[in-house]
Amino acid sequence: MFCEWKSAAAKRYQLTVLIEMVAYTLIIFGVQVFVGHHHPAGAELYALAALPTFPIIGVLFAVGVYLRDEHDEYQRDLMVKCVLWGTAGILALTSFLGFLHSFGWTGEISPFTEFVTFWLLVAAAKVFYKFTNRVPKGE
Amino acid sequence: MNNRLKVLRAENGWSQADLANKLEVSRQSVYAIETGKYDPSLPLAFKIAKLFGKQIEEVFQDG
Repeated sequence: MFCEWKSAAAKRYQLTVLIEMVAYTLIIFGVQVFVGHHHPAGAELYALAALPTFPIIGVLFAVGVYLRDEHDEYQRDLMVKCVLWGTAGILALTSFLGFLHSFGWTGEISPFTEFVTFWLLVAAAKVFYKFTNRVPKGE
Repeated sequence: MNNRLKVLRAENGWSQADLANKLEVSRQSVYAIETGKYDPSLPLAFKIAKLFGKQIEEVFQDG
């Protein structure tokens, strides 16, 4: 995950995340188009709003499965650190935006960006750890 | 925690990749343990010691 060597657990994790992210994107666009055309209300609207949460849960479940299945404890440790950085970053950002709203800010941030931002932060942490933990050649 | 991983590896003529394969971990993990960036768990420390045919205290020292 953080190096050239990839365990079976890492490969499964990456494939699962890829599938879930594609599903997330398709669901987001599908729901947006459906709501835009049909203007649902009540329970139907709530159900449509809940649909994008399933791939989000799926990705985090994949993280849990990876942590269970990965034999390399150091790689597990790095994954936990990256997800923590992503969580800290997105919580800080959403809190900041929440407080802005409570202070009267009327701007809007698409909910689509929150999950994407979380994974961008996780990816940034992965790049950082990959760079700072690279093995010198010849070792 | 200090360790003699690099010395023991050299005595056996193993590269980091060789040791990583034997321990079923990544080369990055071996490097992190050797350089003290990461302290292995007890099971992994015992596995390393057993691989070198040493007592765990002969491989890892507190400090």
